[in-house]
Amino acid sequence: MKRILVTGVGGPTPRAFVRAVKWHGGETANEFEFIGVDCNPYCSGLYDYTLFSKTFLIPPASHKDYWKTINNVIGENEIDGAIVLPELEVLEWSKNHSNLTRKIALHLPDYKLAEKLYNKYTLHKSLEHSDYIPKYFLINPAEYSYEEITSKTGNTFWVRATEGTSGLASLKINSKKVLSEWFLINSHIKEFLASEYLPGRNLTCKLLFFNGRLLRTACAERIQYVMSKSSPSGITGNTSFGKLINEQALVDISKNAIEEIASGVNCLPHGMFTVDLKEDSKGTPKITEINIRHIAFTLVFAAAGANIPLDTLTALFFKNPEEMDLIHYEFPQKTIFFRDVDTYPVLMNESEIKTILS
Amino acid sequence: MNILISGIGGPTPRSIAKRIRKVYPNCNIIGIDANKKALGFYMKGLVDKHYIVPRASESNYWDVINKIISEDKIDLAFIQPEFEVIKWGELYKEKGAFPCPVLLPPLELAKALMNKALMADVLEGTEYIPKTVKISPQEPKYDEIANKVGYPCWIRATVGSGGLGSLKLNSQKDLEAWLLIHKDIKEFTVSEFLTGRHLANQMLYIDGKCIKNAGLHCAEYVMADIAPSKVTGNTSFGRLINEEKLLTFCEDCIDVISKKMGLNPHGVLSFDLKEDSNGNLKVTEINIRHMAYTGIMASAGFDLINDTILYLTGKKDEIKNIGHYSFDKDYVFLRDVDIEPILMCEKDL
Repeated sequence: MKRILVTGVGGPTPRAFVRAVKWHGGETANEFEFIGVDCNPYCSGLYDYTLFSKTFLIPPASHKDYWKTINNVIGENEIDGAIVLPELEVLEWSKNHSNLTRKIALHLPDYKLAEKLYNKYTLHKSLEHSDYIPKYFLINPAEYSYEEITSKTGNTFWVRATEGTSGLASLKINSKKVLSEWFLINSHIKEFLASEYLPGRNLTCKLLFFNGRLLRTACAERIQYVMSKSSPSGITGNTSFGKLINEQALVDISKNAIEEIASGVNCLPHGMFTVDLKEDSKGTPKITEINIRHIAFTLVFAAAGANIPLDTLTALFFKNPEEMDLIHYEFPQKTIFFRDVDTYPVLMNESEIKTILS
Repeated sequence: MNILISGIGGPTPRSIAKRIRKVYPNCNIIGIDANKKALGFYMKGLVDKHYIVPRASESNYWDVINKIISEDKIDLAFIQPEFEVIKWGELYKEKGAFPCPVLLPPLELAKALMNKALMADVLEGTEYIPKTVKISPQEPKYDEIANKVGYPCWIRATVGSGGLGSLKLNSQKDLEAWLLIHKDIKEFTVSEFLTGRHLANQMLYIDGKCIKNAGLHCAEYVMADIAPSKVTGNTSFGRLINEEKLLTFCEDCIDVISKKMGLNPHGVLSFDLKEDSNGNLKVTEINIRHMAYTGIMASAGFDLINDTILYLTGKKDEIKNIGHYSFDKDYVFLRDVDIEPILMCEKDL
């Protein structure tokens, strides 16, 4: 039995990781016991004992006692490995995992790579010589020229915070006045990225790397968002309706981009990456974001056979990742999923969608 | 028993269906929704039958609803989406009867409460609401806001859920910015900014009499970071509370509204309130339906879903715990995406 520490269990993604292993991991699931931690006492994951044998409230990653507490949890519970998923914790662990006092199995990207990918501007900058990214412009809201932005991005563009998740401070902009008002509303944000507006499909590609080798990939299309009315852009961090798709072109772009950026900082891609892409008006996918972690509907992929959480743990504990073959997970045509508050995700085929009663 | 539940894609009707499934395992649940991608259609075991129906605004809505009621021998219905509540109320007003037993507020009350500006008009000059000004992007009433409400203040859309168009405004500049960004929203209310707790209740009225009433504290919100106001329509952490002042306040407020409008309250009503800096309660919204946490409250003993069924099946006398409900434990609940709600005691946090 391997004891796995999972951080950030208040979020849907860490819970989805564990549920993917427990619900869809077959007999191998019995090889793992999960211990959850989070810094928010009011999050459901800390009390979900169907997933976690034990849970602990810990300080935030920025707190001076963070590593002391983590080491206590790891030591007292004889932890064998850790799955770190919130991006700020991925950055902290990538940078400071030498603070660990017990040797445990980890699957984290090199800090230099994680740092480049986490900030959307540095991500775009790293790929600016390629056609993988949309036209973009970094904005300091205290001092900018609207004309300079539009000369780079076109008259209609998308603006968002350079850091943060869930489409933070994102909005479609088509006038100077709207942009300045948006900055006023979001005056706490110090840096924005403007990008060419991409009207096409919203796509995502998951890639599992071990020591520079790509082991697993899987792709999806995001179509609708949970609680979309709560966000002015309609984009929230959680997909409510989407499709699992088979598009090798997405894998190729995503793999090449990650390898190029890793090469630029002299490291090998290692870790879990989720590349978000949007199609331009010609249907060409452009990278908008690379997450240094799984995404919340990782459970949906697992239910459809692409159990990358289980693959990760298998590679960490039971197989030599050097000897594992690359699998591009494929799904039956029209595989769709639904998600919302208060319920588990639903995976089904679009052919099962009902028609209107008349 | 065959029960029709409308709007089965939403969290509240799904919560009602889950509770019915638990209390009446042999009952047939027929879920309807205008959206073919309604999640409730496809959740295993939630409903026995489901239909995609026309929107309430479409001309063939009643043809389809009546057909379902007849063919599926519907014994009673839970009508939850607010536009459908209005549609059913209009039918009752026109025909004097519903197509099947259902517990809904009178049409005039439903219409007044559904629109926050109309509600503010009804309660104008009373202590129940914060100082409020109704505005539109075309008529922003900057002076009236400055004189009557002042800054900081709170803006939101007059119609709609999920904290639509809501934000704390610190200045007229913020207001101008918000109106420009939300030029698609036709009307807003701007109210005094209330700094205290967000409290809520659910209450059951039958023929003008408040039968049951229980309160809660909505402390945190699901996916709060996505909304500029940090307030989304779904509570992620809440406490079920026993506060007599809250329950009495809500009933008194409904008394005032009913007297002003000359009607008898009836149906399930759910308040949202905020405390001002002195701890005084102010109504921010009165919903003409159950809330998404109705199933959680039912699990803690305050079961307005079963009470509705008892009333609609002629067993009103079997409704227990009449009056102000007192929870027997310090219950809290946790909710999020991709997980079923968790009800537990606060001491176990």
